Amino acid sequence: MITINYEMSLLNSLIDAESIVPAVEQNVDESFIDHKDIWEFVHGYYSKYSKLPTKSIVKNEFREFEFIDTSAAPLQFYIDEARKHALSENVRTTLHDTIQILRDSGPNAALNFVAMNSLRLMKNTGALKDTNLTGDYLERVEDFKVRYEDPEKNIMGIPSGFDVIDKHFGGWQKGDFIVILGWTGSGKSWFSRLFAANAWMAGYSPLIISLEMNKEQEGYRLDTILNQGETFRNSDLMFGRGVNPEAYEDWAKRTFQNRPPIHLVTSDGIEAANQNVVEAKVEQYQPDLLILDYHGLFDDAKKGGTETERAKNLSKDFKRIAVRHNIPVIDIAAVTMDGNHGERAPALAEVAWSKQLAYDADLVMAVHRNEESNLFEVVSRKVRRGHPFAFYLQWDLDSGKREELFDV
Amino acid sequence: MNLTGEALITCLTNTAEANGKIFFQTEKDEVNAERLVKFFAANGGAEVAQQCVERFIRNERQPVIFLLDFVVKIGTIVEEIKIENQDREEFKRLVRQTQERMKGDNN
Repeated sequence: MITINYEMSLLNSLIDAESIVPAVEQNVDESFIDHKDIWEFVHGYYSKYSKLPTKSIVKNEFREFEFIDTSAAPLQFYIDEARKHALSENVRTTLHDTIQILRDSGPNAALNFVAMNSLRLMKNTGALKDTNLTGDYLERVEDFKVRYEDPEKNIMGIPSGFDVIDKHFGGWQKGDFIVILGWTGSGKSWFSRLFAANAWMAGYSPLIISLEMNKEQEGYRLDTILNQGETFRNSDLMFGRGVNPEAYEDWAKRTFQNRPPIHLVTSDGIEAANQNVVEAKVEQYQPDLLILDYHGLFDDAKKGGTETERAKNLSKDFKRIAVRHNIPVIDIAAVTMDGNHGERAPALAEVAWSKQLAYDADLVMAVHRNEESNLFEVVSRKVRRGHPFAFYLQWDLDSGKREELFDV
Repeated sequence: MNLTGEALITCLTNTAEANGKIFFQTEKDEVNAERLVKFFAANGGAEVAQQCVERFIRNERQPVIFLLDFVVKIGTIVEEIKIENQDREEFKRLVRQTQERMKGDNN
């Protein structure tokens, strides 16, 4: 069987090269299917004696071990080939099982199985990204020069559109996990869409996964934020009045033509919205910024027992998605309290999964407004880099007009 | 609002009315109101007393309210309001600090 030869060849090549380091660095564990036990023996031997076993020692332990001449190619060739063939084998197995599930449990279960397994395979067969920071200093200097010379790009991340946030936090950077907290009706979703709109206006492509609103509501809300009351109000769009359709069309053409995409995923388009689906959508659209609305509405693929466990699992996985895909993730979390929550922004401790959140989040921001008020209070509850901050935002949600304030 | 028993009862009556509820007075209310005044004098004063009355009336589900109902819940409400007031002060302090930092960065 071809697979056996590739695994055997890799084992022989490792011993011939007298080096296990490249294989470990590139996470070859998952490349072994039929001879995982031999690989584990070789790896364990190296850990114990700081050198690889000879082929005779391996043969003594495993009668099926074959002696193969691997001098024709470097070790990396055998690592790559073994990985490719293990992936092919795993894909074949997944497809076979998927067909079985399709027959037994229907298309939704089969789709979910494919999504989960394809992500696992991609993760397992991919290598960790290693960098030598000493050797890479020129890359950092070049990046700094670009930002230094162009005032529009002086922050490292995607601009939030708020001077305070960008100066205190440096914009939304790759791998950031940002959480927006707020009581019900505090305008959290509006804030996240504003961040999406600001990123888009700066040339980035956001992906919004919204489990709370439908496509039309989302579209009109985004239009309102972008238009800022120039042509129409949100209520005009929602109730089909007040603005000339041609004026609306004209504005939309000018605004959206030849611009980066804004991808939206709503719950009417997906069966189960869990972390696997989120990751699959990120793979599909490759966004620059991901917005998840909202935490409590996502299903936990790991099936945590309590609500808090589910929230913690999602928090960990959303952070991992941010890091793995090198994108900032903005997660919205509604905070609820028995009785009256009072007239203040929620604290970090008032979130059921606050401890996990404290580990995972790079920025936790609470937003608050008194009932029907246009004055929002924005306050950081955790800032992993930079100083804590707070400011007011005067924002008419219906017209979209807004202004950052310190004195009210 | 002045911090007197009479003012407290007037405040309860007016606030209840403004919220479509009835504050139902009983014989011993004046004595108990004086006791509440002493409590508020040691716990934030007239301003906190008024905030407590407003919150209590707003959250109370019964349309008819007795002073005793207020007495039973007053401890929790005062604590909530104290935390909120502290939080509000902290928020204002952080806003000022942020503003100063932003000015410093711009100079």
